[in-house]
Amino acid sequence: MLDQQPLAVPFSFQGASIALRPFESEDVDVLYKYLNHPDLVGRRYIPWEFSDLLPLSHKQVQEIYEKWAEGKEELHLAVELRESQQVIGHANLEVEWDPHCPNIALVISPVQQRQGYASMAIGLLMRYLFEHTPAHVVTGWVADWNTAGRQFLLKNSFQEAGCMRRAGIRGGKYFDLVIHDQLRSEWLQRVGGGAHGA
Amino acid sequence: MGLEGKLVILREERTEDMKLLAELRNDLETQAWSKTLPPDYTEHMYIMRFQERTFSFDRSDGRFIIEDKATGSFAGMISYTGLEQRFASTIGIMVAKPFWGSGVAADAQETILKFLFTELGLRVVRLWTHSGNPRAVRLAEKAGFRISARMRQAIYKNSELYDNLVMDLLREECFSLHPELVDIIPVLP
Repeated sequence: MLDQQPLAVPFSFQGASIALRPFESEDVDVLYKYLNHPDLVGRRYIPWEFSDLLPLSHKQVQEIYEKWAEGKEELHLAVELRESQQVIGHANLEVEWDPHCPNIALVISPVQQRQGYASMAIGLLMRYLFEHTPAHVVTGWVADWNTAGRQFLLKNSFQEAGCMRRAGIRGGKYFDLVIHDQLRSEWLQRVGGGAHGA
Repeated sequence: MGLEGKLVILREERTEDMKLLAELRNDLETQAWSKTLPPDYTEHMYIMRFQERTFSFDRSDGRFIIEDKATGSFAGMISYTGLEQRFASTIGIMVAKPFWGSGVAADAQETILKFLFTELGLRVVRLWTHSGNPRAVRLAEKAGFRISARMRQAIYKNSELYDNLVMDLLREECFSLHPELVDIIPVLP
């Protein structure tokens, strides 16, 4: 039944219960709320010029939205629940440097986590990258202290590729960014080889 | 005067360097990028880029010409980018072929590292290279860098797939290789 619902946005990637769609101005209030959730501090995946550790003002969130909505260099999508059309997170795709090896990041509001939405979203993103772009390998970067994020990528068939040492300071200690990758061939094996060959 | 090493001087760019920089960029062997660039850069493009640089006290990068001390010749360029003040930056180097194996690259690298750690107070310096460039890996290892991440097959060039390599050098690792330098910044765990 959900498939027959008219789309509320011009275009979206649709999963069973979520859709990925462009950000719109009315999303700023939702963004403000979940980006300022204390559990997301340090793992918000926001543009580098904004602090990932400090509270964000409405104006800053508006600026983040404007950067994301512009979408000239990176692709930023809102993760939306299909039934309620509530925005529950965001996905970033960095493909502009080299579409051969794009990078992805996914953030779900802490109050909506552990319901399978992130797995659904990453499935849509990987399918898009491997079926509609020249991506050969996809990477994901997660702070070493973010064990849930690391487990999530491993569960979704990424492998650890090492780390970028000393990526920042947290709790009086340096932390590393753990890098994960997944090859197109591995993704094809996982999804059953339904996609076209390289 | 710029920064002085044993074999090199790292000095500011000048208009007359632009032709040589374009030549370095147009040589697929010296451009050394993870993504091959078309070998059609012109002196004019470099002059335009050079002229677009504006004065600032809040710099996030530094670009230096490597000058061979013995002859005063242009030997290449070295830079740091993405500076996170007092914390991290990424370096890159291109050396003209006549100076390969001469020790100029290693000295330029040592000179810029000394500047980044002892003047800018960085805690880590990084660089990116790939498994198809063992010369770059060896050069970095000479200064104490180590490969900290290897992204499989993330580089395609020269009809080959290579691993993208992250190499990094921590502040205390650099100081431990240079007993003549004393670090007064306390080390975090």
